[in-house]
Amino acid sequence: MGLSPRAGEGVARARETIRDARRYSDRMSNARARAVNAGAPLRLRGLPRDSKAGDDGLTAQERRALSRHYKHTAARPLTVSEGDAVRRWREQQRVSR
Amino acid sequence: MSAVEDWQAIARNDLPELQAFECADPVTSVYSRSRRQRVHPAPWELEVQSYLRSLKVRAEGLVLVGRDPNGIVAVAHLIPAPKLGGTLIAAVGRANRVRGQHVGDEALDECVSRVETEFVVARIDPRNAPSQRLFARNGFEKILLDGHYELWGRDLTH
Repeated sequence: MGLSPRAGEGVARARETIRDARRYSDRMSNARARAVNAGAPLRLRGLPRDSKAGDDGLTAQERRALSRHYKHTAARPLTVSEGDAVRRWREQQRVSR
Repeated sequence: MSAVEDWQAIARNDLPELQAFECADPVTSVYSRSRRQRVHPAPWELEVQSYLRSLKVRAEGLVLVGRDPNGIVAVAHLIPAPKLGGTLIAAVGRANRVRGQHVGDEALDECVSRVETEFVVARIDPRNAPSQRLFARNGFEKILLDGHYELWGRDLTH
């Protein structure tokens, strides 16, 4: 099935976010963990609505986590990619000063 | 003149009022028959309201509650990010009844003044233009747009 070239990038980032969320969720109750897991960015927006698990390289479990209604995601700890972006930004700030 | 008289860390007696805190407009989502789900014109506001209402006394980091004589006017939640040496502003909300009085600016000022780290960051929904203006006005700059949220940051070292 033909996917846009950008779908792969989204999948990689989504996987990373899910990993972060799971690591964090270990320390939380199940209900909160579900919300955080579901808080992974919904990167599937660019995909056809009838796409199935496997079409986008995600496992069924990852798809379920992504497609659940998200909740309280702005408050979750910084993800690895956000942390990297912050480090780059800080470096730029230092250089420009 | 400041709309917020007093900023305090959250206490147990704040909880009943906090659980009824209203910063989303409208305050609840409504069921749409055509879309067969509950909808809200600004879901990011509803998300923040729901998050602030769920805060507990023992929440990670610092929960700031701003009050005036009539009750809670603003709430902010700060979470440390020790690995990066910064602080995440998890949520900031001001009560609907004080709209237009720049309470958001006061809340951000208070957050920044309480932070002892080198920078602060916050996630903002890309559709949430008022918050983007608020953060831009207070010295924040956009760092990253990663799917769901924009990441904004402010360097506090100078």
